[in-house]
Amino acid sequence: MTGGMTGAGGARDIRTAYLAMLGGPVGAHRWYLGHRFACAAYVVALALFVGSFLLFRERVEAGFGQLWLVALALFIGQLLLDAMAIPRWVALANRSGEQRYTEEDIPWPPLVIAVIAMFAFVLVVPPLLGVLGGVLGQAFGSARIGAQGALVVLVLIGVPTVLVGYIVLTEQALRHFPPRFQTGMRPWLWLFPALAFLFIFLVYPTILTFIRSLQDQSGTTFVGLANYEWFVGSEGALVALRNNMLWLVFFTLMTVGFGLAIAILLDRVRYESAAKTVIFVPMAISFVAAAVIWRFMYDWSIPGTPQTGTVNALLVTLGSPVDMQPIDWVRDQRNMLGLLPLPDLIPGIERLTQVALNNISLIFVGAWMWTGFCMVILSAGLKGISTELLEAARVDGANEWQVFRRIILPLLMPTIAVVSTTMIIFALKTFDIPYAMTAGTLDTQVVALEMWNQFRFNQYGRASAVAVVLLAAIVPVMLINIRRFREQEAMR
Amino acid sequence: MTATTEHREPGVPPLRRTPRWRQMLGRGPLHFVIALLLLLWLVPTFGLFVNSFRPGAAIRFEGWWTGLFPPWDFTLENYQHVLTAQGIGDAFVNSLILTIPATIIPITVAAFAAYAFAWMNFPFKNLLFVVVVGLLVVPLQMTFVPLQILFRDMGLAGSFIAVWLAHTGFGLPFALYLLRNFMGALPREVFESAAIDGASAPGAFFRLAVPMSVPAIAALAIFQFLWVWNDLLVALIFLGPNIPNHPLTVVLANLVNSLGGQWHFLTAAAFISMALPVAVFLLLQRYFVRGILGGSVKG
Repeated sequence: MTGGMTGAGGARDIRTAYLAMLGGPVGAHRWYLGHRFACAAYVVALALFVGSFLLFRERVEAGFGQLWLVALALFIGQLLLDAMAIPRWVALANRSGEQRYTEEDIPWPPLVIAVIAMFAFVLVVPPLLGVLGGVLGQAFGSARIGAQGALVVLVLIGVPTVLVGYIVLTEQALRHFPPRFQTGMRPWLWLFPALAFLFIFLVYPTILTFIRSLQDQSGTTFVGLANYEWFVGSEGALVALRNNMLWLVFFTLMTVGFGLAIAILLDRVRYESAAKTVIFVPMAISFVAAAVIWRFMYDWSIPGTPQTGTVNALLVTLGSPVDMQPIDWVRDQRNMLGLLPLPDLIPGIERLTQVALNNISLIFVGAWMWTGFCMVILSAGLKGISTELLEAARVDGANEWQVFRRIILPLLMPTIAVVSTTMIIFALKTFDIPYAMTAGTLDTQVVALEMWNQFRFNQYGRASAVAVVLLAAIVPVMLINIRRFREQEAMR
Repeated sequence: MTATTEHREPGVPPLRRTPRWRQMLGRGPLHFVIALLLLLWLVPTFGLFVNSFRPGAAIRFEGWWTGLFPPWDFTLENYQHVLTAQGIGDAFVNSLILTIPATIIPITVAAFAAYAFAWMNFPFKNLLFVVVVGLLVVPLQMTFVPLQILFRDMGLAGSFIAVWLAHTGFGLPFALYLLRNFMGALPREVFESAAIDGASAPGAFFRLAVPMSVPAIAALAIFQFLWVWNDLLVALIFLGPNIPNHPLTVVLANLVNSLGGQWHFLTAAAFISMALPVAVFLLLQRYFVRGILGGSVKG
């Protein structure tokens, strides 16, 4: 194994025993130093470690200091585990060789590794980060960006290292326990980081938000359902709810409808993949950029002057025989259901049952972005339908409409359901497009925007109540998703 | 289709072959409709692209299409202005600083847990994963108030670290879902024979599961990258008043509301914000498609 170490026969046996337990690399322990020296080095290193942490704390970012503590915790954990394992090394070494050992003979190699690693951490990492920050700062001409860039590099190296270290370390710890305990415990150790993140950043805040929605602005006294009463009594919030309904209906219909139509049309042409890319690309841009793009499309000038918005220019040019007037798509609140007047939900607020044009304009921008998503999924479903089936129907004299209505549609229904639920969730959560196109004015606000408005003015109680309303709207979809997931699992 | 007509079963009457030119003509409306749809999807972006190279006065009084005809009057002024005066350059760097860790952290965290969900047995496994599926759709709004207070107490309010952590938490359910489904579909024999050969759990994970899951990890990385890069809401909430840290989406959204008459600068700013995600998307589209197919309609 390790040639050249035969002279230290006793140490080799105990090292072999140790390595047999850890299964680690043999070469890494060549620089074995000896028990007392390692202990002294350990104390010095710990002092350096703590000292430098206190020293650097003022200067480094908060996250950096916390990482330091994590490293320290891992180090101490390793130390305790090794200490626990010492009797077993001795037993193992005594079993293999003729020589007898006591715990005094333990060379403590893992401690030495830890000491070296710590020295490296303390002496190398901060100066390296400092240099990196300086270089980046020079390159971008800003010390702030330099420091943040160095932090990014630290995270990129540090987070995977800490996670891999955590797994390797806990695996080493598990080796000290019986096999049944190992298989029972290992999954929880592997799940722990993810479950901790889920709990801290999703589950726990969700519970707190429920509680917060029953409290006043400062969060000190419970006010019962007052925040919800405010929501129901606020005309703006009700209009936001109406708009979310419009988003839900029209956004879902548009994205799934367009997506299905385009998937079926493109299935018949040879340039399918290039055309799909064109429809798909808007998904890669932000809602904000899309809002800018469509503000130019929807632009409106006074009738009679040249229209700079593409839509109105086309409208006026093509509609000139009937003297078509330009439409102010983003501001025009005319009711699209004018022919089909619905009864007022709440007397006096008639716009709650109206389909305002400007909302449809905003929804179309969203549909323009997300149709590609639906198209890709529906197209994959379409490709899964056997061509023989379709050909057989055509040979039997079915026309294209019948093929679509009787074969494609029923077979695609599960896929359509999946896509529709995804789109419904998007519609309920929509925020960016109204924020960037109208800032929620002109009766285009949505529930998510209402939440932001309350949040912005530190109305945390009301903001929480709005969030709960949003969650309540999404819960049915969530249950549908869970049921579908269980059905899929049952088929596995 | 030609194959089916040639390998007909005996007894089935031969299909009448329509002449090629009639076929082309009959499919004319199809190509026309597709061309219209493609135009509808291309023209908005193309119009903005043309406008971003035109001077402000021209944009205000003439549509973008007039810029295509001579006399040409293209300029880089809009780009120069937004990169220097409007802080778009800094915002681009901020977006990068925000996006890269917020992409790497959730994937690393999710990979181990996804492996545990896929290949280890433990009590409440299915129940826990159902919770993850439920968390997929919980509106982020439900977390903003408590998290904002938490970050403020930790002294992280307005810092990049807060946004990285938040995006990690928000991105985890999807990452777990996608990776677990992909890893679970890997062949069982591979892991069984590895276990017989004495591979430890980390050994099987690092040497088998991770290399075999590269397509899913790539899809996830693209997904998370696009989601964080294009995100407005989370950045708005957690970076809030810390203006120097604002990423592209926030700066762009603020410009929309503040520039008013100077719309021509918006065109260039929007294009700068689109450049990187669209490039990533076009280059890695195949992985991305595989990702959304794996995420929504499981194979």
